[in-house]
Amino acid sequence: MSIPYFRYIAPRSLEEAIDFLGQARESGKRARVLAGGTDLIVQLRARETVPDVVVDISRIKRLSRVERMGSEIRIGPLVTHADLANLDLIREYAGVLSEAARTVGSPQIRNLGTLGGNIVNASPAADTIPALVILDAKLVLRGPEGERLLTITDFFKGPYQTVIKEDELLTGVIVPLPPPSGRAVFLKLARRKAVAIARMNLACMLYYDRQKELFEWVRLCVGSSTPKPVRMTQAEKALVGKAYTESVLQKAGKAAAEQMVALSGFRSSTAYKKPVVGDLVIRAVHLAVEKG
Amino acid sequence: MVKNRVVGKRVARIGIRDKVTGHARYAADLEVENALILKVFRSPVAHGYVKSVDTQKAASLKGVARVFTAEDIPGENLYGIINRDQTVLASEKVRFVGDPIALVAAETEEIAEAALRAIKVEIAALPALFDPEEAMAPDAPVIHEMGNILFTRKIVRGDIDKGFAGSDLIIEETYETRMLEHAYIEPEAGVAYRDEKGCLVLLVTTQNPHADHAQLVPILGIAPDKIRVIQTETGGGFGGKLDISVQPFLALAAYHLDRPVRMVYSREESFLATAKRHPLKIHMKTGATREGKLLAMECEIIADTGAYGSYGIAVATRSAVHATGPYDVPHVSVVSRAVYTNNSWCGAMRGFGVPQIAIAHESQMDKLAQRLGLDPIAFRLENAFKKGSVTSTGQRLEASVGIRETLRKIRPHYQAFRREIDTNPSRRHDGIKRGVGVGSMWYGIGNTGHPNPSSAQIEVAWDGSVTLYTGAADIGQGSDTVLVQIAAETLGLSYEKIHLVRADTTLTTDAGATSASRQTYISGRAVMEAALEIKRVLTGKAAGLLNVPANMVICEGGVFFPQFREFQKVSFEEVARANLKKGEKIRGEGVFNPPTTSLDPETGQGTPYSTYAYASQVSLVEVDEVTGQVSVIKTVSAHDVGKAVNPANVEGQIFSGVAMGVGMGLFEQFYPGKTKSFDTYLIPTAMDMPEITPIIVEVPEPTGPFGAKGVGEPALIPTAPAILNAVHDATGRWVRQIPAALETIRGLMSEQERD
Repeated sequence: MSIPYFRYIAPRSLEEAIDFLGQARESGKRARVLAGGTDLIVQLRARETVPDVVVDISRIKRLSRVERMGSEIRIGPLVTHADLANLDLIREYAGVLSEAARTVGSPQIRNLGTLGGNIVNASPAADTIPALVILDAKLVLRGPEGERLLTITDFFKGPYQTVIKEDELLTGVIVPLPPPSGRAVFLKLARRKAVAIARMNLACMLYYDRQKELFEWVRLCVGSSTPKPVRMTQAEKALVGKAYTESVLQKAGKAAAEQMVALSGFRSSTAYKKPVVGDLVIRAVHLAVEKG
Repeated sequence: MVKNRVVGKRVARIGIRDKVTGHARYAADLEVENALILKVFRSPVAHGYVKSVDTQKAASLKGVARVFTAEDIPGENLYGIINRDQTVLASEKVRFVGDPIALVAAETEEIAEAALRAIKVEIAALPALFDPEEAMAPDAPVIHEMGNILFTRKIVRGDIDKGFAGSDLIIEETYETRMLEHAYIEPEAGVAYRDEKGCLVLLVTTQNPHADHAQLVPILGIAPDKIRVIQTETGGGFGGKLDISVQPFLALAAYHLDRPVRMVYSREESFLATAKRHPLKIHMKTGATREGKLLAMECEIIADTGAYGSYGIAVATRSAVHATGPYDVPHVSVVSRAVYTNNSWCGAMRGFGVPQIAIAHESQMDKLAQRLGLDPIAFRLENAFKKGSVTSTGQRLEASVGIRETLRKIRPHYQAFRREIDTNPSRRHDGIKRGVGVGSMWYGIGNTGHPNPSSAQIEVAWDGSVTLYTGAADIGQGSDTVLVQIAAETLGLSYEKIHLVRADTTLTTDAGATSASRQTYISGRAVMEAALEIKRVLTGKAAGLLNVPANMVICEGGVFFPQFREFQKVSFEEVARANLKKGEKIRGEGVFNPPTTSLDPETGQGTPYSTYAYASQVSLVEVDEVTGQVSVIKTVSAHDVGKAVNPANVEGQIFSGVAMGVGMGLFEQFYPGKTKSFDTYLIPTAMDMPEITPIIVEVPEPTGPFGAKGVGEPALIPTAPAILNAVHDATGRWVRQIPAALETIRGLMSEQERD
């Protein structure tokens, strides 16, 4: 099976790339952006997408930078999963994102696949997204009319659907430095241990005050369980201000399961996912508290 | 006794350097000048009558050489490896999504694909059947004219009612296995052209070039010497390359067109169009005495063979013959059926139904052991075959019965795993339980109750060079190496000295299929016989040179010498040179057909195989009770192979068998019409593999070369049973269907009862 023919453009500057996207839009041509290609090439081969033009942004150097700016980290969309897994800056200040990236695919996929691609592809099973959600990440989108800033949760409309416009590029991911007291955990559940799409993935960050014996704050997001990524606010509420006891955790787990079903409805996978999501939330909270 | 110089040694594989450096040329790597690309139009409908096939528009596209339909087949449009029921290009009926209807030959892949899109086919859909039990109903739509039940195999031994009447404990359960894809690394591929003498030459990836040849001759309706099949380097087969795939398309196009042709399946086409493993539904009832002696086993098997027979008959028979497991059961009754449906067709896959039936008999063994309060290994030892035991087909096992030895070898590991679990209790809230499980198996080497001879030739040229000719296809399992080792050992020559010509229907004779774990045992023995003949002839000639009677001549280490007078030695080359003119050759021929008898159609009594391999395995697993995830941590696998001609090869087979077994037990499930690629068909990765300790047991088989039997399929068989029994040990839940996927295990954990 061959991939369809298309025009291929590899601009060297961001401005050029946005120009091409704008031109394509104006002339009614379907354009797709190529970064690492780990999703796009598969879609092309299956002819799930038949673009007129493919804009390869991988040569735009400024899009692969990672830098700390004051109280936030700016991550370029071309930063690969392997980079996220290994860069000291990410491991130190956004460790949960590192952990999530480390579970993506295989070394080959992690070397090619990018953070920007993982976000814009908008798979409900994307591993980096729950981590970005609990980190309160923001996305910078740039189009012909300039830049706009969105919170990560506002970016998604549904499975594989986002608010990005045809002539916009994701140019940056901004991660505010999380409070140093926070303890984070990332859990991935998949059918096998590598090269696997998440059946569910979960990111959790919390602060448990051992003096006061209560959860000060909790952030929780479960991927592959809701149409678009959200914080599991009901479960968070069940924990905040409460002590670290089995019954509190059970309530939080139950709340997470109920919120998932409320948002997703009953699907064929619900029989499995409903009890498991609750138990995974409990497991994640245990692991986070154990981190000290 | 002279110590073996080559047999039993870890010699480097023939051709291994080319494979690891990427220089080996597989069929898809072959560049043939001016070749046309072939693509097949396949049915989008599972069951229906083909009303019309309009290829006019496709044929008129620029760059399309020709579009073929059933009308273009010069001979018979019918084939099948056991029963002939499959068409090269459908003309009347399609029976599964993927049935071929038309064939395009074009200048490029893109043009060929465009031509496929331009073909218009009208199919009148018929009700399709996807459940073999529905297909067995008397009023079910008919898929093949002879009826939907392809074959029934019965085995009756003793008196089943008496057996159950005397049993203190009876366990009855239904087990289900899934349709599986072989997932060999190399999809089907080949090229074909007409040589200067007008002979059609096919270079293809295959497990059996001679059977390919025999199937192509009637399809083309030409003389056998007008077509030649040569096996290329083959990237795995596991049974999936026993049936013809690209072969009839290449042959048909090359027959009609005055151009070379080339065809390479994409992974998606390989998934869609080729054989799968038969899913089995197994109802098994087993009875034992209070003391732990097996008395009775009753079993009903339904194998879904999908749209075509392929090896369905073999799978129905083999699963029935092996249903007792490697245990002495005096009263047996088995009914095993292969049934047509409109699913993807099922054929041979590593073990021909035995990996499936082993899940049933090994689960039954553990259930019985548990209820009787017996240790699983002790219970197996109590019932395991020994020399003189009689199988359910009435065969007396005369030699090489190593099952007990394999159980004894794994016992200390079983005990060590137990201690490891007992000393490492799981943490409070991690929900991870550990367990240890045993699986045993037996496996008949070669075809079931059918003659399956192999032949080989060895030639010694005037300069002393030695060439081995074998029709055996090395598909990565290592037969090239093993057969040369056997020839070298028998002739007393070094391994490197022997040239090999293999798997070419013009240059070699039929060695039978690379299947049924038979090449080391059967072709190995044929090679040995050929080498013995050479040795006899050359010893006679050496006697003349040495001026002593032939019975005084010793042949050892590549030299001949009179007994007790080694200083008078003459070399292999010297003997050849002294006796042959330039261009002359001495030729040795070897044939071996293992003694078997056909099985009685009503009782299944007979000698289906001349020898059996045996194995036992123990696995340590972790079960995450929250997610249902099963992880295999450690596996120890003991295999009685008779004699390991190349221990490294045997260990390689064991590693690969465990890998395949982990996939079969935990992940793999092929949904006809839905599963398109490795995106959703999950096979294990390196990360999913346990630590594997292979143990080689050698109880020699007198009819095998140097005592050797086989290990190719046995390597897989005990894996899934050991895993499932370990899951029970960890969780108290019995798994009745594979794969033991997340949902299955979590579902079992939610069930109240524990037994």
